Amino acid sequence: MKISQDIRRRIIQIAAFGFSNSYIGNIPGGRLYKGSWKNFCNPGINCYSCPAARLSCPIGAMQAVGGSAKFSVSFYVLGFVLALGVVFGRAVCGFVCPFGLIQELLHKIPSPKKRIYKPLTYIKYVVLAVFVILMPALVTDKFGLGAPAFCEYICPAGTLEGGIPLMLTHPELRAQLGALFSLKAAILAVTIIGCILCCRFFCKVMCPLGAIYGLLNKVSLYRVHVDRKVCVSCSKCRDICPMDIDPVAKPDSAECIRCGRCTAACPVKAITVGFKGKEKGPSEI
Amino acid sequence: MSDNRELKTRIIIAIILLVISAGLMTAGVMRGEVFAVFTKAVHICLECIGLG
Repeated sequence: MKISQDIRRRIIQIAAFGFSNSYIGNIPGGRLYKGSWKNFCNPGINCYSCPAARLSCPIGAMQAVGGSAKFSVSFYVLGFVLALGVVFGRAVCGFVCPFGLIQELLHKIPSPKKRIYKPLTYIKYVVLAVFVILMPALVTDKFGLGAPAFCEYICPAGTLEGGIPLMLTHPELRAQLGALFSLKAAILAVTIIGCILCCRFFCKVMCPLGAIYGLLNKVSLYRVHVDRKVCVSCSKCRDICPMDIDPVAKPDSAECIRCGRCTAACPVKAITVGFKGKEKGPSEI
Repeated sequence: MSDNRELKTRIIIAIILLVISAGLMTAGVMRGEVFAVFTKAVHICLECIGLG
């Protein structure tokens, strides 16, 4: 039995989500997993304050180390993200990001579907530069500690995966709710509505990790290859692309998550995704 | 640029970046960043959950 690229990707996404959030038994008690897996970062966005989380969030870790009194930048997390990005590019987003799977499931809710307004996709680079890199390193308190600004003011994954389960199980935390939680809840609400209307709204507009992996799409070994001699310019790949790009015009686009839907849609198999120049198309797998 | 040449350039850049990333990770581990990550990850992150 042949398994389509889409189903294979979904199986990998679910497996990655399950591995990243395997301590589901911690949710009713609102306890965090405290074992040695937390030394390692998740390849995708997954809040480490989620009771089920096994791994550390790379963006949270990057800010935590960068904002500490001892360090101003995290070589450990930067090296980890760089290595993954060089090998896989944004395929990490497409295959193993837990929050990416949540967004795709939200997009399945019936509603009018929209394409993203292209200039909005540049917001994530501003978020990366200002909230993840500059603010934790430069805006410090009297002890020299910087705030993890992205986690604090923006991250809807933290609100959804960490905030809501912990608020439901910890009355002492609920008693502290204030304007900041309202801001984050509003951002979460916008993200959820955005994801229902537009596939992977958070990835396209806000995700600083996606911004890093996206920049590395230009050099990543796992890539999209287009055989222009075979392409008949039918635009089916562009029409089906969940990230609103044209794979023929920009196979290395920073938005491409290497999901492979374009390869399946191509009637002449001119598009392939893989590590080599010409990998097998889905019909040959 | 031909496909083969483009692929070769890409592989060279990737190898250089992978060496840099290995160096960064090693440096991070050596100076104790992993402990900082672990310490943050095993406690409730008040910023992450919206309490600041």
